[in-house]
Amino acid sequence: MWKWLKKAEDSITRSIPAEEPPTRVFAELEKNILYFKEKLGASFDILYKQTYIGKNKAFLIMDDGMCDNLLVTEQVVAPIMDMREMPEEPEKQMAYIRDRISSGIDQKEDYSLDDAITDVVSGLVVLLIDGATFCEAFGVQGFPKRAIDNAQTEVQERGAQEAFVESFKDNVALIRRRVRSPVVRFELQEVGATSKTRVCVCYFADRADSKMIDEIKSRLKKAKLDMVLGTGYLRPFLESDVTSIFTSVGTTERPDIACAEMAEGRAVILVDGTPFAMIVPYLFAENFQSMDDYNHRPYYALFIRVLKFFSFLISVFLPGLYVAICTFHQELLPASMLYDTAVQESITPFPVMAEAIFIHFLYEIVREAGLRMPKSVGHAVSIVGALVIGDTAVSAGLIAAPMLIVVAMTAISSFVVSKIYYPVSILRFAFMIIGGLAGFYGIVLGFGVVLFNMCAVTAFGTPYVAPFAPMHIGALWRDSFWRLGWKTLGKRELQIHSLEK
Amino acid sequence: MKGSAKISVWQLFCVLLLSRLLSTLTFSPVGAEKINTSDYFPSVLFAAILIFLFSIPLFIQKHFFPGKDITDVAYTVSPLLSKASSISYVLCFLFFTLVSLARLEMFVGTIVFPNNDSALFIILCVAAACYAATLGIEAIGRVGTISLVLFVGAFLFIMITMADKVDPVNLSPVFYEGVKPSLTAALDAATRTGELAFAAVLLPRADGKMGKAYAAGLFAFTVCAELILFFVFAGLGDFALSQMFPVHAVAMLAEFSVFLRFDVLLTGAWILTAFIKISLLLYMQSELLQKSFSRKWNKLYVLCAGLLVLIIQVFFAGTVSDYYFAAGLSARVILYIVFVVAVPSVILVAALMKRRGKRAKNS
Repeated sequence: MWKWLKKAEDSITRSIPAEEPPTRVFAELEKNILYFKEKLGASFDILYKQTYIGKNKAFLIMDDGMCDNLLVTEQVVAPIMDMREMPEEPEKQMAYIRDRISSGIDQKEDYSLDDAITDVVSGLVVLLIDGATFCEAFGVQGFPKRAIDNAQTEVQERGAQEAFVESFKDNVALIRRRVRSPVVRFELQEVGATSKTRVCVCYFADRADSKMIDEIKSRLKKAKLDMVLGTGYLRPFLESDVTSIFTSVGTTERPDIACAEMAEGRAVILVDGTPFAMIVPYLFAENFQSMDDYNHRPYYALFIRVLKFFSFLISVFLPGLYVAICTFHQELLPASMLYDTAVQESITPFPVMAEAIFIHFLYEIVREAGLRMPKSVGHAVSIVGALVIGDTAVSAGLIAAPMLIVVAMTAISSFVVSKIYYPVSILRFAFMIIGGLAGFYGIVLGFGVVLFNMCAVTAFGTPYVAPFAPMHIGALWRDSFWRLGWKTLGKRELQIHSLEK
Repeated sequence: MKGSAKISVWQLFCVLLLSRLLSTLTFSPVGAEKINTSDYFPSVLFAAILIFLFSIPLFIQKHFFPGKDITDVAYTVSPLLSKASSISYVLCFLFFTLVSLARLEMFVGTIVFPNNDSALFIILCVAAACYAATLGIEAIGRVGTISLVLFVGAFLFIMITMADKVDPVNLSPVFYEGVKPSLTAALDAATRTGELAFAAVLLPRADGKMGKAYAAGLFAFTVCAELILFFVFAGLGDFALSQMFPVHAVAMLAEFSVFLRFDVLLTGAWILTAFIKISLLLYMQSELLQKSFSRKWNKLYVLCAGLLVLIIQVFFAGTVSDYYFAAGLSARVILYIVFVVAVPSVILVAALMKRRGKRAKNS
């Protein structure tokens, strides 16, 4: 079966070609230009500008859309043209130019034509001189990008409002601006055979476990991917070996959260072209924490966290429990409630389990439609959904009113724990089915299985359910459901690897 | 499966405490020796003393053979003895799995789903336990810790909500018929389940000093058992003696405002605890089979053990557990003494003698 599926998949795909050995820069300029044209084809955005530097023929190659033309003129072309007393030998000439032009940290020498091509498509201007066996690349990027905007998915009441953007360097700057200390490290790697996406591992050198950082870099290096267009592409390579419905790799779009995570010894991974950063290791308890918890007084943080935890329980278990109680354990309801529920459920044509699955499925459709549609249409979808489901279906006797209350409570609760919305919505369906088939017994067993699954996950040596199991009294006391005040919390920093088994 | 994974001794004793508390929850005076309700209180203390005495081989094992389980110790005497002891422990654990599953089936069949066929529930439980067992001892240890907190929380809540139903007048005088009934109940309580045999196999998987965790575990068991029995007998009086599951019967008295059925919390804790215990037992069987045969088939061993348990329980439902309980106290004591005291003691003595002989030879 698996072999057949693999074969079927192979018939429509091909394996990612192995990386060819790099081609060195030729001494003959024509050969280099031919190589460039062969690799880049007839792309209209690649500009080849022939010129003479002294008596040597030279070429400036750049990607028009990726470079800032003004910078190219002011920082590269003009200084080269203005240079006097330049040596005649091509390689010395190149070194002379290199030593006199400074166009940012990206400026570098390339000895391989493949590296030079990557630089051109990354927005650098490459200078080739006839007779030189290396070329010079100048960082003059100027591609279009989105300005730094407010956070969309992690809205905070009192925290900073800035969010990461797609531009990689802006994101690094957002972190650097918050932590002006030499301990912050940004280590660059390239992932993706074709996309050659830049991935940056950020951490605090004095707090992150060096073994963990090495392991992260090694896993990223081993990631066999053709294209990397988002953080989700790399997540499976950073997750625990145990298949779990919850992820041990966190995501944030907020630079302040990224800094706070790094301060606890974690690593933050930025992927070029994505406004989200990954956090490793990420613990289950963090799904109930937010930056606002640290801006409010501790008692309010406790209240909010408990609220979130109960919302999580409601959003996962409430529909399943409702189905189980209505199907098998009616005696668990208080008498008056039992009477009302029984009357309502008796007029609907479907069994409770089918009704629950149907209505939740419908809700997910409405939610998905509202999410993907343009905002103006999204509102219309919500209104139609609310009218059709909320009013007409109940008055037509298709759905019982208590079921609608359950759906509403579940939906609102699941938005409170939006970080784990996706696993929660899947688990909800699973518990509805198991509640309808095996009642309360099935729900307890299902809870046990989920608990086992979560407890089996260990992310880079740190148990996913820490500090609850293994129980670390110090960490529980310091910052779990309860958090200490800043006068105490600020004196010492937590080190995530100290929670290891 | 994480063969080399380790847990702390505290986690190990949490899991073992949970397993023992399950046996307290499933305590059923029906079919047991009839004794006065109050005589059960000293019996818990006597049981704790007995458990401590039965633990002596475990302490010897930990002291003289640190990092070795009982089959490793047997290997130092002879590889054949190691294999024989492994297989006998596998059979013993298989039996305990059947007993736990039978008790769960009995509970679910009488309390949760009195009108349904319990085969589906048994299949679900075994399937879930097989999955849990393949996740390894770390997962079992962590789940044990969380579940113990949930268990204690659920029980405390029930105790608080039914506090007004508790009346010490319901208790009979202690030692009214002498000390013997208490001693009999103590022997029954101590030998009801074989955590010390589990510990003999799991010790090398636990890091840390055993003494404090062991003492805390034994103390917690004594306190919890005394509290549970107090609420059962002070709440129900002699009526408890006619109940199949008196702990559940007393939990049904709990009420708060319009909510009358808090026994559901106890039911949840009960099912979860039984599930963890069955997972632990399947895990241990797989570990021992790996030692005796190949390490490659770890998941297959769990599956085979699970299937065997399932087949026996579904097709011969009740038979195994019935004869275990019907055989009475003497049969249970013999089984317990053999696997918890006799077999480990023989292996330890033989291993120590061999070690001494080797040293004498070398010197």
